Amino acid sequence: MGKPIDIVQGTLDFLILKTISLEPKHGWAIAKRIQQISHDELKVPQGSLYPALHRLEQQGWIRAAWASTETGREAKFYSLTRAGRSHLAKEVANWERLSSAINLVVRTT
Amino acid sequence: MRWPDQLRLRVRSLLRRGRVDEELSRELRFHLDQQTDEHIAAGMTPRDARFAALREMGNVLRISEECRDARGLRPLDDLKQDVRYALRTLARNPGFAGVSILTLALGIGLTTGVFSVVSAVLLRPLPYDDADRLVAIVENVPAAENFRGVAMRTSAMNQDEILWWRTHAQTLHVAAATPVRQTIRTADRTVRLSGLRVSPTWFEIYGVQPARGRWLRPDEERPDADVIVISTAMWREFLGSDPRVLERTIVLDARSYRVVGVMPANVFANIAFWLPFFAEPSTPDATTFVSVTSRLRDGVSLEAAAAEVNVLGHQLRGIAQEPDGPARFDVVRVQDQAIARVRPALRILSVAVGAVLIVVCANVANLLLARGASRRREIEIRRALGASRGRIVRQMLTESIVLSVVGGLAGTVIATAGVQLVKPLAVYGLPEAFRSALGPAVLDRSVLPRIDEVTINGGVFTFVLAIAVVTGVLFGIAPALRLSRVERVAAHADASSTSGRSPRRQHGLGHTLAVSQLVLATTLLVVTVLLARSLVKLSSVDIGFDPGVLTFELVAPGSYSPTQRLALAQRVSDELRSLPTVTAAGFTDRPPFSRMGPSWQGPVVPVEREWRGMDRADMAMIRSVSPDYLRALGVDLVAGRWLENRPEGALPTVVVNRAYARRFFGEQNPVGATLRWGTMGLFQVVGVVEDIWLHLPATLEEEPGHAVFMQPRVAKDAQGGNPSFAVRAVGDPLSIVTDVRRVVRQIDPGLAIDGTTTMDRVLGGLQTRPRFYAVVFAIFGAVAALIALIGIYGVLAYGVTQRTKEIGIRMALGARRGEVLGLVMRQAALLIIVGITMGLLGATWSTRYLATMLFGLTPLDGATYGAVALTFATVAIVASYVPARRATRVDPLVALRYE
Repeated sequence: MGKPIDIVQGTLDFLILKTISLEPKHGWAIAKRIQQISHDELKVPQGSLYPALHRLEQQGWIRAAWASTETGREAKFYSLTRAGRSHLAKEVANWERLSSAINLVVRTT
Repeated sequence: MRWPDQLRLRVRSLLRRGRVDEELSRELRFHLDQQTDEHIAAGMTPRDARFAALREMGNVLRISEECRDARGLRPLDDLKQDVRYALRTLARNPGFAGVSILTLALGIGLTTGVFSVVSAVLLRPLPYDDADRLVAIVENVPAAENFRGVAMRTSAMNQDEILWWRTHAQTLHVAAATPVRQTIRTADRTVRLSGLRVSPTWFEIYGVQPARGRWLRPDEERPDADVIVISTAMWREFLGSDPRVLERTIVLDARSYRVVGVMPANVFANIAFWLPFFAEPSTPDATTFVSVTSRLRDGVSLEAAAAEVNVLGHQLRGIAQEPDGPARFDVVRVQDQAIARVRPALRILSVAVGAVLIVVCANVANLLLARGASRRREIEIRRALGASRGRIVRQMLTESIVLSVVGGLAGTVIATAGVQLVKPLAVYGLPEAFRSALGPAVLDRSVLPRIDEVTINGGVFTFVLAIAVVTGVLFGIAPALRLSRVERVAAHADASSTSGRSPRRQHGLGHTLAVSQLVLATTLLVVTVLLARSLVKLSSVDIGFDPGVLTFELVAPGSYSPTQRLALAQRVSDELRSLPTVTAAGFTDRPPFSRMGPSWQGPVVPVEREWRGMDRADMAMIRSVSPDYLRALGVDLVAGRWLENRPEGALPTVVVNRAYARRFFGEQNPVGATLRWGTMGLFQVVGVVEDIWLHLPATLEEEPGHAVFMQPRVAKDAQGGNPSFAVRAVGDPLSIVTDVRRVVRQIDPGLAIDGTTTMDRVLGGLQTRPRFYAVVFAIFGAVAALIALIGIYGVLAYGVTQRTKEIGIRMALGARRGEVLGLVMRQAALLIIVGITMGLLGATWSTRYLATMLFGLTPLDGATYGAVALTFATVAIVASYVPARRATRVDPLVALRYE
């Protein structure tokens, strides 16, 4: 296993939306979750995570609320808005088209 | 659906800044704690775990910054920074800031003042429902049919005709109104009030609703109807705001009326009461004219109404329509009619201030460019540090907008002060008798209609801010673009290329601007000085009497007979004379300068001469005066004696003025001579008085005219006019007003005195219009002159900055300071001479339109032109000396090192 890949910005937004699509999560949990699911192949650069979250909130894709974690700490939980959900669906479709196209090119040449 | 949320979030980020920042640091702290816990769980010591977490997170400050950028706060932060920086820069250059702000404040202030007038007079609708459907029927009377022999446009109507219009007009609701003045008596005083007799439909036509009760009813349109609608002011003053006002009665001129309605307070402020109108049939000798107001019926256009009115009008007069040529009858909107006189002037004024504002922008742009050179180094450094060109332009524009907003605020202060100064000057402040009898009194109270409504309000203020921002961008954009062109390293090369880039063309534009400002300012200054000098001449006319005298009208109720009125006037004048503070008191049928009361002119000649077929110019003005009146006015007696109450049986006596004596008696003394006034009878001359002005002269050459003053008598056809008194007192004439009231009240509590003022004030009031114009032109002239001076200064300063290199070389080659000074001053002198000369030419052209407004001066008065040119040129030279001197301070070493 090589060094984990730093995620570029456009992809990060997309992954954040995907990660919180099931249930609201706080920033730390989002980063952890992306790392886990990708079997530590992807590493969320912490310097970009929070700016990305605030930008997404400003854009109206996600909303934030303060709540207690299981350890009893107060954390800011992010969840998808309705607009965010439909945006995510579009992004997923785009991604699938892009990745299958790239796969096609990579495999045939 | 998204953008309201976005907006809410942005507003939150903006307004609850502290809270948002605090939440961000809590969020990041949570992340750190969580990460630390994980490391501890993996077996690290708490201390190491914390360090590891911090290391992984990186620069917390940068993350916070980026989060705030993500929230879109960056532009706002930048703006705040730019504004603060701009203010600091301006504070560091107080000279530049002061001059720029002054010129902007003058320009914006002038614009604001004019806009406040335009918006109140032209733009704001009259305060009635659907005011644009209120119309007046006008008739264009051709010169041949007018007894004065001039074409006339009138909306007054013979009262017999009103009925005809009312029954026939299908497109209009028509109502008549005619002014009426009545006295009301309370426990301690009697006063005269102005009201209207109106058709019952009048109220509906104006679309007003009664504050209480109802309006007049159609069946009340008859002479014996005893109903009245009163104003809120009258209700308050005479009925103590009694809530049961509709059960009260009001007694006017000894006749009792039932109050049926109350007018709301915000409309028709000058009218106290409304009585039913009724048409009195005209007699062959007298027709009564009424004013007519109409409203377009629903769905009727102005054009349709105009067409119908023209057809009906021709039927009414029984005349054929002219096939082509203008319509004889027409309808116009009341709103347009009210402002028709001033609309062209206000339009011109608006265009003029627009031009002034553009000139101001150009001036400030020049100042900015002149200063730009000294900022080149600063911008070099900023670009070297990584500022983008856009960022520099934004910074520069912020500076210019800050400048213009500060200028705009100062301008608002100037405009407020200006409007406060000019507003009272526009109001005639004259009793009705001295005001022109033309047009409805409401509109003629001031030089500009609706002047009371002119204020610097929220709407005007919004306008100022908009203007300020627009001007800021306008004058800032060119200098900002030019300055931002400075490249990081190539700054020096660029500096030389800027000064090398067709300076002649740039100068050409700047010079044209400076010259045109001088032209405008010179023209305005000439007009101002002409108007001011003419006003001085008008004020110094010898009116032939001492105007420091109290004057008032003695008002008797309409029920008093002419004989009773004369007897009462005589008693009042006798009683007043017996007051210790009064030195003389008398009355007349028509005081000097009044436009009301009988105006007799007749063939009065020495008895042996023929009076038939006499020229109108030779006829004498005839005034009736009580024995003491002329003495009270302070007229000088030249020969003979004053009038006296004559013994029964002898001939009635008269006093003539010097002009009359000269005209009919030459060098001989007319005292004792007998005069004949046509068929009116014989009179004996007992005295000669100095010439006095009975009207205000139109030119300095005009002669006062010859006049005969005779004893008051009761004429057969007396209209029951009210006598006007003159009372001369020891000290301030107004100090005896309370004594006068007391005396009048003791004689008859039903008498009122009205129009109480001094002849001094009357004279002042009669000069309202020329004074108003003189002040307005003075303001415009002063502002234009100041702006032009700043303009010259800016152009020269910019020129000097651009020629720094050239001047440096000249000085290095041995040019002396005096020569450098001469270099700039020669250029200045050329601009000034060309500008002022063209300005004088412009003045000779434009003052032709001024001829009717000038008194005792011609529009081409040489002294005025010379004085303006000389003074203005001197001041302009002084203004150009400042940049010229700066040129002499150029250090050749520094100037050349720049390259």
